[in-house]
Amino acid sequence: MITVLNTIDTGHEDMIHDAELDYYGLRLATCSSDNSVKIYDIKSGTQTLVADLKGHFGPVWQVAWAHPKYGNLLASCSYDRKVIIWKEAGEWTKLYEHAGHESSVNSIAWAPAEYGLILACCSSDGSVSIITYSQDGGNWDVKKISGAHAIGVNSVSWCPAISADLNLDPLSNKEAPKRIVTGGCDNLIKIWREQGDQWVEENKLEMHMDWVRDVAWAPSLGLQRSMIASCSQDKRVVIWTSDDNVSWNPTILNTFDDVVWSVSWSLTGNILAVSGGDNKVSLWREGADGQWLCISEVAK
Amino acid sequence: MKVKELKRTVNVCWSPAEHYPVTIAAGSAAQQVDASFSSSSSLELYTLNLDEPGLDLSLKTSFQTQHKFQKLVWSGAGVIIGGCDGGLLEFYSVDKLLSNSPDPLLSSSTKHNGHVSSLDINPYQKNLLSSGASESEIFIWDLNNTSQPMALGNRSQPYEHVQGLAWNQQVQHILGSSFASRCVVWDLRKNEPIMKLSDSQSRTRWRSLCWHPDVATQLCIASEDDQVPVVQLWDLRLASSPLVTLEGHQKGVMSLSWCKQDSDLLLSAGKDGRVLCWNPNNTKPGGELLSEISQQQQWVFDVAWCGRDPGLFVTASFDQQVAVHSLLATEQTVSNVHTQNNMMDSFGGVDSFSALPSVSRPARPAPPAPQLPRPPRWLKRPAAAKFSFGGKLVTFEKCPQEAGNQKLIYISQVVSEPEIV
Repeated sequence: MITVLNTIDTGHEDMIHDAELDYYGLRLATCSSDNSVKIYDIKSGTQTLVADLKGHFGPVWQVAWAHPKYGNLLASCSYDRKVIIWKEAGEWTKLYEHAGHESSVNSIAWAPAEYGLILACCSSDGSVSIITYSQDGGNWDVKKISGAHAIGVNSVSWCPAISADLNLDPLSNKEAPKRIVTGGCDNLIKIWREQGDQWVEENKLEMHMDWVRDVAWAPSLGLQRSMIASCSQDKRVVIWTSDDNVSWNPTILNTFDDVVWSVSWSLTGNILAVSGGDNKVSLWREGADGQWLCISEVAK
Repeated sequence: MKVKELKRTVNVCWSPAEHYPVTIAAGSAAQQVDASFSSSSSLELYTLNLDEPGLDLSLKTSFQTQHKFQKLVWSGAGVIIGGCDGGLLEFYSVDKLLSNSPDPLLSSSTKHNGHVSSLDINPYQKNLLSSGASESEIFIWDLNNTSQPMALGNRSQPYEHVQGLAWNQQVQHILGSSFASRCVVWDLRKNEPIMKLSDSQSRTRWRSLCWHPDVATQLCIASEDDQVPVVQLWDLRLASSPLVTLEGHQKGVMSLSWCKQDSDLLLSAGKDGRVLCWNPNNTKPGGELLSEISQQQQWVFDVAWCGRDPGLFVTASFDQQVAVHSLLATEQTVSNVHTQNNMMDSFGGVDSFSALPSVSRPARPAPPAPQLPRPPRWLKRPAAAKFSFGGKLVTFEKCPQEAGNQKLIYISQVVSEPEIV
């Protein structure tokens, strides 16, 4: 069951490419081909524009809110090859500009808050960069995975902190390595693990026959299982499951009528929202028998 | 940026969009000899092994052929057609080539005169091929039965070599053909020419032509004349003069390719060794040059967008160089390593190379890679749905009609198990 609570006319002058609510669901950040990022206060069915952030010189592809324990921080990435981290201190200002990529930065994702203030960024230059805020120095440390996906990386998502290495005993679990999943223009999905001060390729998942547009690692429900959803230009959504984060099994969720642009897990990790180029949004849930069922199609 | 390369002087073509994995067919180029003066010729298939580092394509199959090729096309019907000298057309089975069958040649024909240098597959009917060679002769072939091609209308006077052929991308029975002095558009239902385009203002010598991917009445033609190295956009509704003339090449333009995924992107390649990317839909005088993508020593005689992977294109030049480029990716260090290795080999391997006195050059910041001023269409995500806390779902979509110019975002509540609530 789906009920529309708010309809927001963003006033963007060109296509919208992303929108995300903050942790409490009180603020909405949007970004567009008009090069701007906007922030709205959302209260009981109404919304007020609180900031119109101009700092990018190209279409802005994605926005991402950091965990509130780090303050009000928003990251945005753009075709102008830059990632900007915006901070609210009275007014919204630019806190940091990451200019380490040589082509369009297509996707960004904050690490689970337990790890600290860490942002993964991926680009059409084929690389992924991971930038970490160091509390002592007050500066950002940049690590790069070069040549992650030939001819471009489209999407990145973090493994939840608590589900890492499910087979380990809980005491050593704190030492569980950080992992990210990326999807690219080489039709591949790759899983990377932090090892010492490097990121190494742990797995290469082949199933899609065209560009992977989005990947999403499911939030952990405390289940003895990890899940990743991926969607592609090949119109398919694939669910990858693993008991040990090392070997992964694919299940084709569905083949859609059009290119699938985004996949998103509910915070409880049991519902997947799928959005395609035909403007259709559908919601999926795994039945007791392991079959995926469409529980709703959003039509406006 | 160059992502893959092949050190051969060959004619190439991409596999059609529906073919997986993406494959390149390469046939030895006619009228060309390599350093070894080898007269052997072959037809080879390479896959685009993007998951492997390095610049080498992966060879799937190689077949020794009797003749060299002027032009290759790959039909979605599973047939590769090669145009050769002496009016010869050869039809190869893709399946048989890939399975290394001893005889992949399905049939051949010598109906044409002169070298068959223009071929095109109909975008709507995969078994419909047009071919052109000398004396204005154009044939239409049914790939299911290649014994009886249809000759197209009355041959266009004066008799000239057919430089280029291109099926319309919107209307399946319209075929464009280019001759040095004119461009003739045919209606196959009437089997006669319906339009003749010639620019009396300039001394153009037409070669390649291609139709607008979205607008049925527009096409671009390229002039290979070194004095007038231009590309012109014409609209058949205003056939007295071109809409715009793209001026940027310093020598004749050999080849054109219009991107199907984004019609604001047209590639041109020329005798000046340059590959340029244009927005032909901008009709400002001189045209809008978006980017210079590569520069080579020798003539670049062919350029083609990949049908399946947006942003990839292949160029072929006469200095034994086929290169697959990516429009957005930027220079990798891989290519440098490659030339280094080549050089080391030439100087007697790593040991003796490192024994040479080192050469130091002041470090220079790498120049920013050229980038298109606007992102290509395929990067623009039109719609998404994102969950957030409390079962709220944020969605937006591609310009809904009823919203006019409004750019709307919806926040919805998802209740997955209403019986519990």
